[in-house]
Amino acid sequence: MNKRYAALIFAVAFIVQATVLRYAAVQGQSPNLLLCLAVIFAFLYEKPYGLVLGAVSGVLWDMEFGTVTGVSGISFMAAALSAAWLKQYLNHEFLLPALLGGLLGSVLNSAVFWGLYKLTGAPHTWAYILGIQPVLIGYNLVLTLILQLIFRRGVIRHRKDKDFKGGFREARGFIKL
Amino acid sequence: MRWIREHTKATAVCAAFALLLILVLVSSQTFGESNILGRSAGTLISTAQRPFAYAAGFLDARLSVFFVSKDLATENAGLKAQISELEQELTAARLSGTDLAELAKLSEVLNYAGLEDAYRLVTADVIGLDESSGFRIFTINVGTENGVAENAVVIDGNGLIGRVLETGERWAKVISIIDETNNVGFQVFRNFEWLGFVCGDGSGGLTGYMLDETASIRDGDRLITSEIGGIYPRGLTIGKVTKVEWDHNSTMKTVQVEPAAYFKSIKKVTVLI
Repeated sequence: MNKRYAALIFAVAFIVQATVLRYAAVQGQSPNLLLCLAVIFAFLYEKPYGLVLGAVSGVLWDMEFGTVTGVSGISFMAAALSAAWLKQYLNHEFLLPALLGGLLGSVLNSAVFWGLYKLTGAPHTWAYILGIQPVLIGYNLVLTLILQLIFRRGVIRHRKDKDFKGGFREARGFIKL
Repeated sequence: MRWIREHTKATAVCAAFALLLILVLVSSQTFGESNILGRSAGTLISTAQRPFAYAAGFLDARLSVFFVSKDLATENAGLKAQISELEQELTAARLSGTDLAELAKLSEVLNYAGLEDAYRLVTADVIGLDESSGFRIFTINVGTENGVAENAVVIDGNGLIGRVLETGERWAKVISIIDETNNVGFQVFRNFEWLGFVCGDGSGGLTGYMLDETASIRDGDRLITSEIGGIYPRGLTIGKVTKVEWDHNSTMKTVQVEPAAYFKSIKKVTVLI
């Protein structure tokens, strides 16, 4: 994927997240489109689009809606890194590995995000933080799957390709680890 | 140095993490305030958001007819009950018409200024809202150009919404009262001497405590802003008490409050300047 195209996708996602997704909120929580994009880009593409654009969009998001700038940048980066690490062991063409990537990314994002906010003195209680996670993570997983279905078409490689990496053998290796 | 040369990608990632951590530490000292770079980014983002916000609002208004019939029925029942309650209040108010006339005369004598007289009201559209984290901060399309300043109070037709956290030329960041970090001083409408503080409970409601534990506040009591804290003017509706409890740990009387403003579909607000 062209880097300009990737940046444009993140820019549109930023605006959609701030304006449209609020109408899709369930129990006061809407999915985090930017996080899901960072995770799925890191999971599908070799180039570090998810990492870089995730960090940049996270910082901009904090400037617009956060009280401490940089927290979302770090948490999106952590989520993208976890997805990039997972990609080495799982076949990124299938839905289940993407679901696993989304789950790991979402959990890690929440842990880093709230960990940093608690360190900087946010008064949110742990009961509240844990209470919003099931809806948020579930919602993020659904969105990750949708994004995987949209973007995987460009990265499917033929099994007989000599550069093909990933598949059930690698997945088994990962499980043994 | 050799390790850095051999691991350029890992070094770049570590450097980016370190830079962002420094940004977090610096930013946490100024809580919500941006520097010139942040304000410029805010201007750029809010300009790009406007058409999307209007389009999303327009579509929501049109499409909601098809999706919210159940919610509409519940809301309708609630509104009917509210109308009946208001009719009773109206009757009571008519009965005390003479008292009102006397109060009007008194306010003239005392040179009392109402909300419209004491403040200039600026109407704004909500152009961005973050629902993906626990913070309840949103962006509106008015800023310093319209006279909006930090800590300006934001309301809607039902009651208090919050206060302005940060301003740009044509945008402002508003922190709502349902954010857990935003404390609001209140007084009970039934007895103005009963004071307390509320903040967001994290699930769209408010929670708080009474300063005087002997205050006999009860379910259904209406809370209005007091002037404690110096930000909010006295008399703005905050919400209705839904639960009163005695907290043995803090030895305080705590209250659960349902906000008067409906935050789920917040589209237009008014800023007091």
